[in-house]
Amino acid sequence: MTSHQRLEDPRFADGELVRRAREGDEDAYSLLVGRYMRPAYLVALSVTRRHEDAEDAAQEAFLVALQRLEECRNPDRFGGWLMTIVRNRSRNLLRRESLRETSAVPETASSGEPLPDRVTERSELDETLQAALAELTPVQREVVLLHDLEGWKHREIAERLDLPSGTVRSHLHFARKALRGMLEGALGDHVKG
Amino acid sequence: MNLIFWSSEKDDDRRDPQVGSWLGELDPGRDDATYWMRFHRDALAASQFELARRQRASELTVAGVVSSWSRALVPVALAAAAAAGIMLAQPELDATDPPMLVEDVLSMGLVEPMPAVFGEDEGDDLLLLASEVY
Repeated sequence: MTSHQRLEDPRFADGELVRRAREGDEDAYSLLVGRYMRPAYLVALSVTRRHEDAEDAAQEAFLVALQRLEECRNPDRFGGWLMTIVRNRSRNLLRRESLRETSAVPETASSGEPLPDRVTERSELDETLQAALAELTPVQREVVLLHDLEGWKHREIAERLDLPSGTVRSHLHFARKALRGMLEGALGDHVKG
Repeated sequence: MNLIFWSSEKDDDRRDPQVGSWLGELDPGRDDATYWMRFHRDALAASQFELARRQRASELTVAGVVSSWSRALVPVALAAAAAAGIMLAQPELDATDPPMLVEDVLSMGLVEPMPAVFGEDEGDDLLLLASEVY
């Protein structure tokens, strides 16, 4: 059964999986994690803008969601509820990090050893992308990542981020325009290769 | 804040391939085929304790609770019935000194004369009583 067929099947709808997960059904919870792990990571990345932090926040959010599953008033809208938890955990994590950084001794950035070409190239690409994404608002980052990377439809984003559909389209339009403006010159077809 | 609203007819809900290709660089699974598998496995591993707790809690159904109560209740009821049976089987107590009834208790003081509080020869005491009461 494909993931799309599963979504159509009421036995695998969010609401039913949430009800089963509340009773400790591991298979149901596993399906929910599989369905939302990438979007959760992307939403966390929109807030933290660092891979390690996004990963930690998303992992933490899944556990918190399971522990508080009774608080999910509308199990059919589990995705939106989970994304709110992800966003909050990401902000908390950033707050903790900033507190730690103010009291931490600064580390030396480089060990002096040359990095392999591929790694250097990747980190340059990553830096350019991160700089471009930094120009967007967090909600614009969420929308463009969920739409153009994860493939969610406008309606799904609107439902799960609790935004009006028109606002989702607007954010997507401005995010794409800004990214093209910043990345076309810098990256062009670089990524495709 | 500038917001642009699109009509559903003009709405294009497809991915932008170029933007998608750029953003694809941010996918940790792009260069690491097992990344998402590990992410999924780690999330499940972290949730084992909570899932087990939920399984145990869901096993406590109404029937389960009633049956667990009955396991403790039946022996207690049997013991109480046995004690009552033993008490009933004992010979009756000697009835020479029957228990006192409530009406006897209430009428106890009435058989004796009331004390003469307001005697005719106690005019001074009456004044004293009135001053104490008021």
